[in-house]
Amino acid sequence: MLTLDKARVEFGGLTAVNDLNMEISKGQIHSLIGPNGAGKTTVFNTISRFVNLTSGNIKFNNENILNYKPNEVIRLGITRSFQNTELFANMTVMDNLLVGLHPLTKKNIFSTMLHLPSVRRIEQENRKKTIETLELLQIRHLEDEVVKNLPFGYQKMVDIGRAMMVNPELLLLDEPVAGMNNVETKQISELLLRLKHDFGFTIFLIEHDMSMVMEISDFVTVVNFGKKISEGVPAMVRNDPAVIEAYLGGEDVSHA
Amino acid sequence: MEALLQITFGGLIFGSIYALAAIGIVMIYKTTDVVNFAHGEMAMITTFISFTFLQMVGLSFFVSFLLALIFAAIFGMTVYQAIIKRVQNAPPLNQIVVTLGLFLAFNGIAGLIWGYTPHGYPSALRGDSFQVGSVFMSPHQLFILGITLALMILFFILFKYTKIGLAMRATQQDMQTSSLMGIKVSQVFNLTWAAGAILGGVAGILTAPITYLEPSMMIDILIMGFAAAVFGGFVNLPGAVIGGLIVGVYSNWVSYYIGSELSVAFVFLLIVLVLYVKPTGLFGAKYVKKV
Amino acid sequence: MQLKSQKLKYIFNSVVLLFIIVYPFLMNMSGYWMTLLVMMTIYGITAVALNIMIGYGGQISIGHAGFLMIGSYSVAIIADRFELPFVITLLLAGIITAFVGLIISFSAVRLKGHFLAVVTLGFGISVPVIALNWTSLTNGYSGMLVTRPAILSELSLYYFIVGCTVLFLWFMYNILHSSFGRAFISIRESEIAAQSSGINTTFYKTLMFVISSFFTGMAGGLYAYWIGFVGPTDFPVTISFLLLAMIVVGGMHSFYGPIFGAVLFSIIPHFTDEFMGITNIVIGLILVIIILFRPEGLVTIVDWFKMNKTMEKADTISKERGS
Repeated sequence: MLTLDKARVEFGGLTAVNDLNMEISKGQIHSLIGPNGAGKTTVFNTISRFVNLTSGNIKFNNENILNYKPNEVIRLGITRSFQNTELFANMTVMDNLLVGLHPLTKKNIFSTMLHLPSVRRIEQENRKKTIETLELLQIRHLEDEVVKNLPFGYQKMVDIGRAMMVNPELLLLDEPVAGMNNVETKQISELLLRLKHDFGFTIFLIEHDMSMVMEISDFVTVVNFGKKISEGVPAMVRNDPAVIEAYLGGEDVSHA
Repeated sequence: MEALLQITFGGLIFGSIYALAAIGIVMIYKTTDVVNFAHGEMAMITTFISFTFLQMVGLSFFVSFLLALIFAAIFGMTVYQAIIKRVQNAPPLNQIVVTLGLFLAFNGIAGLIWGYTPHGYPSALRGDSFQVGSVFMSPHQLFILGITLALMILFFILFKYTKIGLAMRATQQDMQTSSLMGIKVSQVFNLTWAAGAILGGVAGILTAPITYLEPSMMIDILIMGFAAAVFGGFVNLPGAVIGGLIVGVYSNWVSYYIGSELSVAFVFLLIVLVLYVKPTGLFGAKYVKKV
Repeated sequence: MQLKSQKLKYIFNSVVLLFIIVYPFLMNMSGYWMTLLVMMTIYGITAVALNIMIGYGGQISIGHAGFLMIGSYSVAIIADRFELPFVITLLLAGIITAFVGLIISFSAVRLKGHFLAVVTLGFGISVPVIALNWTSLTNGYSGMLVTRPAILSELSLYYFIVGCTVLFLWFMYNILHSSFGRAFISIRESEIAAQSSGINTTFYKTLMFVISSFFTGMAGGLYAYWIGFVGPTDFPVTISFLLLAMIVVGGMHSFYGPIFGAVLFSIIPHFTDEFMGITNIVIGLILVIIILFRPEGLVTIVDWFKMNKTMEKADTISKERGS
């Protein structure tokens, strides 16, 4: 469904992504792993169009993504979360998620100005949808909290929730469990599996938590210095000597 | 053709003043990260102080000039220490509002003390205009040119070859590392505001003989100085100087060929166009936001 | 709790409106006092309109008095040359001003922070200069007389202006408390997240400019009708600063803050105008003090007790998580 074809990104003299070929298949959880600075987030940024490719191509359902602007990518059915969360810090949890519904919301400035029933009805529907998502994430009780007052773990949830609002075909999650404790990590793992099974989401995941990656992924791609060094099902990647070498300098990946 | 030369020369003179104002604005922004909208009003107060020494105390021009600049240095440091320091890490909007507040307060204070009736202000060099080629020049114009050049050379040397200059450049690059390296960052900030206020003060004292001395004399100079700073993307000192000269010549052309009062509007148009083409200024850095 | 504060708000609004309605009679129809209140309403509309950009959208403008001036001159010029119903004239003034806002926004939406401040400042300084020099259109120094609509007495014009104010504020309230308002705020909070949520930031920034200048233009039009005269010195750049002061001092992250600020700063000159300069000093110092000690504005005093509540709640949330 998503194809990276010899994708290459250079910043000045530095090659962040080096002729990367990748294929993400529908209905899978596909993880992208690699040491810090391997260029993982840059891959995400090229897909969400914040970073331009130096050369190569990215296609989504045979549609050339490079023709789209960052705010248009969501219309293709791709949404994302951010590594350090890019939330609307001074807005409530509810409002953050409502912004996530933006592309699906019909808007007319004049009927809004007059507060017509149609506007009120759409708002009601959107709130209902938001509450469903909050319940799925088990953070319904935080609805009216201002995001910046929340602990980091909850903020991550809100970030994921916002990306889920439009029922995307492809969800890009950048380290969703970084900074979370074991209980929360487990909760997110379960959520991701549920999104895959019950909602048919395809999930493209960047994650450092190896046990989680190995447990939930259908497919894993490993990059180092922007170059793909291995890919395959988790069991295969886990035992690939090249991965063990590059990733941990010899340590066993499964214990990371 | 002769008119054009004359107008261009006049523009360069004004441009030097704008450049002086712009250097102050850019220096302060580069080092302390604050755009000082009160820059012009601080300069105006300094000019009034020099006027007080000159007229009321009866000192000579150069003594009043020097005393006023000493005042400007203290003034700049005080403003920084008492107020600006507290908003240095605040959002740009808060900084802008604070300096606009100072703008209003200084304007009001000057009006209260010195009144709103324009005063004449003598220039340092009196004497008749003379002709070079087809261009007429007055001693005051040459004085402006001389002072501007001297100050620029002085600041260039200060920046490049002295310890203070090195500390300033280091702080502009990276404040935290500089302070770890033993540079007294707060002292650098103080000095920058002092220097900025001095440059502004000189611009004010050079302007007063051409316009008049009154509390709103520097508003136009401020916007011209900003225009010049915009050319340099707010961070490039040579860019600001070149910008000042461009703005000076351009606005003088507008005054002569279109209408004297319209120059501000046309300079505004120029800024809009420049920023439309390059949103970070003509000689500015490219803006990159990290995701 | 929510319901109770809703009810309180409703009662408060009704009391204020009632006061405004009987106000001319309380003041014996005094032109001076009615003008004071009309200026509050005009600045109230403008401050809220400006706050759409600054407080909600995070886009600074320090030249908004320029839009007020365009609005007031539009009414003067249209009323002078064409025989149109005055409501249409007013609407046209809004549309013309919005059009100017649109043109400015082409450049402005690409700019950030200080650059945007400089461009809008330049705009605010340029408008009076143009009004002064475009003599064939504006009558230059002498300004223009505005023919008041013949059907309106002074009192009914007063009520018309009050009615317009209520209506405009309601319009803006609805916009800000809708998906449009949320899009504006999201741009202020994080342009990147806004974009990846599908918000076309350029379009919404332009929209903010257009809406803001539209209502500001109509406020300027109301001013022209009330005063009956427009001149090139009516809205100097210091008025732009004053508008900014209203927003900041009132509280820019609230709908009502700027209105509160507008009332406050319309009253201050009433007490200080006898001494030239004092008004500027007072306003300037208030600005500095507010930013240094209460950067969220004076409305936070009302929110004081609410705040303690949120803190408690945040506390329990983090405890809950720790367990």
